[in-house]
Amino acid sequence: MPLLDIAGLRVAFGDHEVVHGVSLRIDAGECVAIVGESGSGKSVTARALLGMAGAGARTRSDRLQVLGRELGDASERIWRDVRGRRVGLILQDALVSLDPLRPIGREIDDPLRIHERMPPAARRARVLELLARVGMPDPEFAAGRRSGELSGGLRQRALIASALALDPPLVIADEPTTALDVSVQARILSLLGEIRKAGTGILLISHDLAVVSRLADRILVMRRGEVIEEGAADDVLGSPREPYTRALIAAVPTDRPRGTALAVARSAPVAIPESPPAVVPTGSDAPERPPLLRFDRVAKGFSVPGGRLLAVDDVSLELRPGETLGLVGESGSGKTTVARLALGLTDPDSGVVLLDGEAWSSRPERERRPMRRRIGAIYQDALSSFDPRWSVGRILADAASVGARGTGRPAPRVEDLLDQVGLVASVAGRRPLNLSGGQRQRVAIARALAAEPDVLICDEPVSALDVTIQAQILDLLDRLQRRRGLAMLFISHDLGVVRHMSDHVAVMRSGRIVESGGTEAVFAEPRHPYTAQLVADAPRLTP
Amino acid sequence: MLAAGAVFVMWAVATLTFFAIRLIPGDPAQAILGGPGSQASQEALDQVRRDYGLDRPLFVQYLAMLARLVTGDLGTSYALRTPVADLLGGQLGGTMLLAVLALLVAWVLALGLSLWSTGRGRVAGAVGEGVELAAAALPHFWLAAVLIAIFSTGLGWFPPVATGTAAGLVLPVATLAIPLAGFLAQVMRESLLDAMQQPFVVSARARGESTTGIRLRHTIRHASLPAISLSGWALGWLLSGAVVVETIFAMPGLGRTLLKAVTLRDVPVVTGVVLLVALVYVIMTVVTDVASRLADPRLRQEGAR
Repeated sequence: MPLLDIAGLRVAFGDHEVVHGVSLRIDAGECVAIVGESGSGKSVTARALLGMAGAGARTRSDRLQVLGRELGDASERIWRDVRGRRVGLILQDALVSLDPLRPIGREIDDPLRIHERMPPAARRARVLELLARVGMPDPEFAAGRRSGELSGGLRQRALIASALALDPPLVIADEPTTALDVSVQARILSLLGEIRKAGTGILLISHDLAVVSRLADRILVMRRGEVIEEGAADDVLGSPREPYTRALIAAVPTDRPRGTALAVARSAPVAIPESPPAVVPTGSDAPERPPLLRFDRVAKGFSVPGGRLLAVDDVSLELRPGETLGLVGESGSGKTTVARLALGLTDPDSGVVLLDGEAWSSRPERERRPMRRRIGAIYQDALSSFDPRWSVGRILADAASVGARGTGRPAPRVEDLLDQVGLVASVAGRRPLNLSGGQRQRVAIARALAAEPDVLICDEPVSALDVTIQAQILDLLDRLQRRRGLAMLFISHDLGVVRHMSDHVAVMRSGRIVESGGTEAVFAEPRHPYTAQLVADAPRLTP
Repeated sequence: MLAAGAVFVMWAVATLTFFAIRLIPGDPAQAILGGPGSQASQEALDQVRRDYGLDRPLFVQYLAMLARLVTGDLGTSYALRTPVADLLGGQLGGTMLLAVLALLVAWVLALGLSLWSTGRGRVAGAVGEGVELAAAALPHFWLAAVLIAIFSTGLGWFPPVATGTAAGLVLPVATLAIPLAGFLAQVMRESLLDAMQQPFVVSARARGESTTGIRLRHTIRHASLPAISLSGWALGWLLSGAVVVETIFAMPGLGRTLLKAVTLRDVPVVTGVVLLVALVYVIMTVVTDVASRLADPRLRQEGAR
């Protein structure tokens, strides 16, 4: 008997159907993955298997069986019995996937309290056992912590423990490793692998084929509410039939050399340069040019209870025109502080930052301001970097006029700015909230380029994007750099992305640069054990 | 730090009151000698001015008042000739009881209303919103009159004036609590709706938790956080509302004492009442701070950082 057997599942919100007849079967000890972009209907499908498709959702199916029990028209009471006991749900790690006001021990205890008549002492023992099982250090102590007091990886372990509390035969993991650092991601994936080995069926939902390829026995590719391709993981990854699947596979940046396009089919028009591109030698072709941005033994600390935390510790970097310097490291390693120092938003405690040979960090803000246009920045969360009341046109026009101030040259036109990031001119009239994630990041890039900077700081620019959109944005950045000779400081926790984008790379850990050099040299033969670990953990397709 | 802030607030309140009360037209000496209607002789007025130091420059009077306050002496009532501290001490209990009861009732009403009206479809939501808005907008004097008309004159359930019994407290407490409940419920509904959108609610439902369970164990707590922070302000607001309510229901209390003292230009009593209310404000701010930290562990962490 399969754990899960559904056929012809349809979910509609009002008159708008978002899942069009999905069929799916999972056996014990099997991991089936649904892959697709945001909006493909994969999460709604997963929630529908718990009777939780959402407020106002209508779910119909020819067959919806969990452990042989038909749940097609089950009442809320029956669903409640299924949830937690028969099927566990693991959400994406977020500070709020566990109630931030309650200790995680209570959250893990909930399924036991709801479904089982167990004495409190036995429940307590079970909670500690679960925490130990998911690899939580010091379960006794951890049980009393709240989600905000734990790191992302430990939070995700707690969330997994709460889903496993009653050993449900089936676990649904909805983007379980998204937003986690690569090494944490690798550990969470191997934990899920152990659970599967113990006989639990897993439905894995992800946009990331590299993640899926580590765990899944079978893969379903979803697009616009339909399963367009389905098969054994090896077949789907090794010999995909559908062009869309091929695009998804091509979009995984790991092990793809610098300069190769990741996006197969561009949905946005390719920008046509109005003048022949000035060919600027990139990367190692131009080693003799003086650095545009230089960090010389920079240190920056913050006060924490019980002392001072050195977020950046004796960091020296050089960034040359037309070159990309990748900065890779886990959250908390000091990457973003480096970005803030480079942007002159915070001053170093010791050492200097030089912009084009001139003092940058030690200058009073009044002198620094006219130089600011030379450095642009894009961030992970493009949306919150915009004024939500401003239209895209106003955002860009404002950036362009501020950037042109005092330079004597005309401000670039909004249409040209949009055009060079592959957006049509009509986007100018829209507001950021009404754009997709990829479009927002394109607007953010256009805004950063409006002042015609020499240096672009990219702080996790694609971490919040689907892998196919990520590929388009990475291609766009690469193209823009070639055309304009931009120097880019590319910060990411994703080694695959950094490797694909960078000429040189610096690996950061606890505020220090533990290894740096040419990208291929560093990653092909890492000298520092930490780099070696990062390389081993990087998500790659393993068909 | 906290103590310094509290002292600063008390000083600022004393100073503002001292100067503000001088802006009311009329002669304090006249007030001391029985109010504007009295036929006090010029000699008597001069005598009183000397006795009370009213002939000295304003700034000297101000410093003298501060010096008295520092030693804990609130002065003597002009009208009643009794120490202000004794006068207020006897009134504080009744007013605080009224305010605290009103706050509790407001909380219960607000929780009930916001819980009932959220997650129950559009109609319930709209009804809840309408009731909250109407309640929050009700002026005390009007509400009191309506409540008396219905429950006292009409139904005869409760007495129209305070009798010192529990029944006599019902209408005054309701008058104070209903507008506050409307206000608190608006805040709670917002944060309830917000909490219900959070992923941890999905997690909880996926464990098999019932709707009631989710409310009890998760969302109520989140919804209470802003309302807890507002409660300190609310108690102060209730004390000022008590002026109106105590007058309407003829209850003895700080509010009525304040009103009388202002009419009689009884400066020491006015200053005393204002300082006392300010003190309650300061204490309540500390209490709500502590309560917020108890309810929201995230605040404790931020404090430590």
